[in-house]
Amino acid sequence: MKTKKIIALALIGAMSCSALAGCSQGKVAEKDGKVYVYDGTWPEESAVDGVKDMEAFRDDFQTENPDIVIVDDAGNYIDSQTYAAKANAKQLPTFNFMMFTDIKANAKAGYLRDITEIMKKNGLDTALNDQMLDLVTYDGKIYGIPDNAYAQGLEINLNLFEQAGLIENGKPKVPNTWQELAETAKVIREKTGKAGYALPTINNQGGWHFINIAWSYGVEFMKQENDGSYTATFDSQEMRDALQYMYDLKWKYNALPDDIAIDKAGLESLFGSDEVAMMIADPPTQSLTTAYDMNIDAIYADRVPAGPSGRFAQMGGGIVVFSPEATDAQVEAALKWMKFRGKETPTITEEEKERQGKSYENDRSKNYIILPKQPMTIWKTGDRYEEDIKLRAQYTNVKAENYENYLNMEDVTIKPEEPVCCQELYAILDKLIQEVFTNENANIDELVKTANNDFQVNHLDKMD
Amino acid sequence: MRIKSKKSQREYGLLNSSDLKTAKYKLLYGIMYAIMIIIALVCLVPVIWVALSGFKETKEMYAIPPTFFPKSIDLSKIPEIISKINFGKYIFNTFNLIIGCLAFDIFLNGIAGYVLSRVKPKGSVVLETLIFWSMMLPGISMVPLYMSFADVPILHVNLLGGYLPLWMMAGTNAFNIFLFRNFFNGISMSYIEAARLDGCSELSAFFRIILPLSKPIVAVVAIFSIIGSWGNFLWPYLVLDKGNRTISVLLYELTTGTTVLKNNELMLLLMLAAIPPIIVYIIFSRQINGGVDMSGIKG
Amino acid sequence: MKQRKKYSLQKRRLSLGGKDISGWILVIPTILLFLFIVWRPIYIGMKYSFYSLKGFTPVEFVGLKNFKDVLTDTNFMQTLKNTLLYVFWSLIVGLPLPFICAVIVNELWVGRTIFKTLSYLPCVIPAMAVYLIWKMIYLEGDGGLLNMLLYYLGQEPAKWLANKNIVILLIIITMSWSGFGSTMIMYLASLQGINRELYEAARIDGAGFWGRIRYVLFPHMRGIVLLMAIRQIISVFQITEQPMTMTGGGPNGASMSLGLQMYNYAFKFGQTDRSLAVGVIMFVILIGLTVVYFKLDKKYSD
Repeated sequence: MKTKKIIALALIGAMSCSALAGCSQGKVAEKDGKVYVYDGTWPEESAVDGVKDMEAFRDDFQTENPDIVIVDDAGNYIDSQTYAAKANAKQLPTFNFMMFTDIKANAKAGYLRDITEIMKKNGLDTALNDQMLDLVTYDGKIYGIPDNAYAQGLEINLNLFEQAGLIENGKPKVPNTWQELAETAKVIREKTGKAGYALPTINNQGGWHFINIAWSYGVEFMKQENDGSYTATFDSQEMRDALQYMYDLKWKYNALPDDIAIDKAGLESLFGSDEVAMMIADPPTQSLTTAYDMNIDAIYADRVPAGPSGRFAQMGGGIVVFSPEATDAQVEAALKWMKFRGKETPTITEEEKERQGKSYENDRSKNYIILPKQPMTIWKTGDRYEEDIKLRAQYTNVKAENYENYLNMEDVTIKPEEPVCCQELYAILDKLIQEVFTNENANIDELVKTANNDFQVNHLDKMD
Repeated sequence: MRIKSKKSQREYGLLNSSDLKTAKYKLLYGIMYAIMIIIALVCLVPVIWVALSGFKETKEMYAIPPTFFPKSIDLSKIPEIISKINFGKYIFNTFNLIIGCLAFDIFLNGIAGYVLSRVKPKGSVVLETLIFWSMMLPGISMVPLYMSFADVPILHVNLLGGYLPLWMMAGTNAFNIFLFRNFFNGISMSYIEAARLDGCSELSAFFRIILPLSKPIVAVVAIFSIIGSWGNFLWPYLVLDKGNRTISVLLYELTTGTTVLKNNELMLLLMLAAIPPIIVYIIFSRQINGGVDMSGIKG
Repeated sequence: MKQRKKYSLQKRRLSLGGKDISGWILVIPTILLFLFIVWRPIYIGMKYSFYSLKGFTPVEFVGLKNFKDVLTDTNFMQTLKNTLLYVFWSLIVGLPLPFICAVIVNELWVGRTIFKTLSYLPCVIPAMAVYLIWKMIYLEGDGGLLNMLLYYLGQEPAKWLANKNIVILLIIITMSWSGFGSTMIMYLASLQGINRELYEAARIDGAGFWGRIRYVLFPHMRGIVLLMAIRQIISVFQITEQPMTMTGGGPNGASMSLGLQMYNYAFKFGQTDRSLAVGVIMFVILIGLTVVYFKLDKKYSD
């Protein structure tokens, strides 16, 4: 009896132990004289090729820097829903990507590492563009390094333009204003039966796209009062016009695809399958050629169309941020590893250039689109852009004229996001768009009024 | 287990053979068959449609007039998609989840069911009531549970990222505890008394006497557990790190996120994800049907 | 003889004490896990709903502020109404369907196994795959299965998930499709427990098909139907995944549920404190429903 009880207790003990085993041991910063860098920008496992490339880079890098160990620690943090929990649990990787949108809120919450000192030491702070520096600075401190930046543009599916007879002398007849876009879309519907234009409407992505249109109609979404609080200001005629335009796209011009409840991925899938002729996107949209097998020369990009108040494109991109737990040595090592791949650096050495060239070649072989230059610059000093343009000239696989207008950005006002409650605003705009797209009897006046009030009451008034 | 002969099929119905000689009941009987055939079709057709659509070309998916059958079935698409998104790794992860959940589910819930049914220590009624109430209120505490995993009380470790939180959740399945309890209620006390008289401890009585007598219910809980873990989505999505993601999480990410697939590839993948549990079910469907009979839900 | 009885009694008393201890020892892991996974989260959820949180860390006591924030949200009433609508439709569609199927399958001479197997088939398909399959069935335009049917019937394609008035019903149909099989086999098991002599007795008393259902089958099944109903109400009341994956709560909030709202607060907008408040509100409502269940259960089992 006694032995049995002992066995029973042992079993329970074993169970409790097994319940504790498998707990994460925390992330080691340094071991055996080696610095450990946890790379949160590592590609997802389902991106088989991307992982292979990174592993090759890592092997080369570690041979060159035997005192640094790079650990694959990707968790798709860029839009992770659990970032705060990971930060609280001290589980963040040494560095990872974050969207432009999220940086200030996370800096405020203390989830990002202040890298001002290291930036200064490496002279990176003065090398950043003023606009970019502003973006990563919160309360006088620098919290990240922009990795890539873009402004939204209008992408055109030339296959459908061709079928609709909208190509003249080898050039597509690109709509210059939103009004023209609607009319072009109508022609495309009549000639091809396909949708002329589409935008995502769910997961806050509808708001993110629609805001370009709203701005170009002159909508102002909020203003800061003297006491620091914000007031919603889009209960305006401009907003009604912009929403009326969206309504007309659906019910007057029949410009949209049948299924409007799509996200960005769904939109790209439709565009890539020749079901949609125009979309607002951040060119180059790589999935079009890599996942949907579109011919590279069938994609054309231009500036966003203009509205009554001008031509507005929203700026977006990714920023490299560091874990609050990261040591100086880890941050330095991480910077080294990024620079090794030609990233997050204003200057570029011959070796890095060679490596960058290889990576362009690699991308090209996988049908990635390589533009003649980057859409927006991040650094104001250094030779990186000149060298990059030279390098890209060897590898670019697009017709230069297909992206010329987009890259020149003539008379485009590039705007950062609204100052506060961005995601909440997008969620509200999502709902507005869904309503006018699905309800032929939508009361636009009422909708705008309610949305403005909702934004004020539910979000701006409740800001902490 | 109940042995079903041809004759005993009429054992349960409302109508007996003499009822069915009248025209009225013949008609009723026909209507009932018709209803079940429609229901069976509704269960089957969507699955077949998706399976077939996976083999369509992109252009076929948007073709007018729409087609039900693809032009050709090219089986080489299957290995293609499997290697394209590293499907094997996700299967492996899913197995990790399933095996742990299975162990927690059967042993912890089984032992709890046994104690509540056949040991009944003093005060166990309180425990039973608490567990019953828990069954009535599951899942409401999404955020606090998440907080608990991120920082386990007393021990202050973080369990997020691995499978353990999901296994532990499988070990607190009140419904299965009651399935076990009800089944064990049907096992004669005399076996256990005899074992006790022989000096068996409760635990060894459970393993030596109860489990061998309980194969049907263990099979049922095991199959439910396997199928459940395979399809479990929200908590794996919240808890698991990238390296540990399961099939269901992969499916969600493919529709919203970073890796993109064409619609037809996605449909093919849906089928690949559904086939293993369907096979498990077809092999063990007898146990499921039989086991529920045995589980004491006879009301 | 007397001697022996005394001995066995003694032994029994001894083993009783041992039984209590070893019984409790055996359930220690279960109790710990229930404390950790089920009971404590309810407690801290209640407690911290009165706190403001930074991420997932409580900062300070703020009283009823979170509840006020949640309840004064202009969409709260709509979301609550939607949630009740989910429950309503699930009672209309999801509750009778498995019951009727079980009664019918129980009658059939030929094909019972096939029908049972096919009805259960949707239950084994991973939930995520179910949502995606049905999303494609409901797809607008000509690609969706339903619109394909309409096409061959010579009708114009209709709006499905984009139609505010039926979106909740469609989501419930999806749920019922994937879940009715398992409820059905439970009902079947229960039906087979009915003493056949009762039917015979009813038959002799002149009860027809409906009479037998009314006087024999219903009273027997009431307990389990009630149990299944309350479980269904409770689970549908917390519906989250389905709107999250099928509609994202749209169009224009028409399929937003309290569960999804709770999820969004926590994992989309980083307002964990408000998420906790929604959780507590749901908890209170569900406690109320459970109490009603116990009252009903008691009434019928008397």
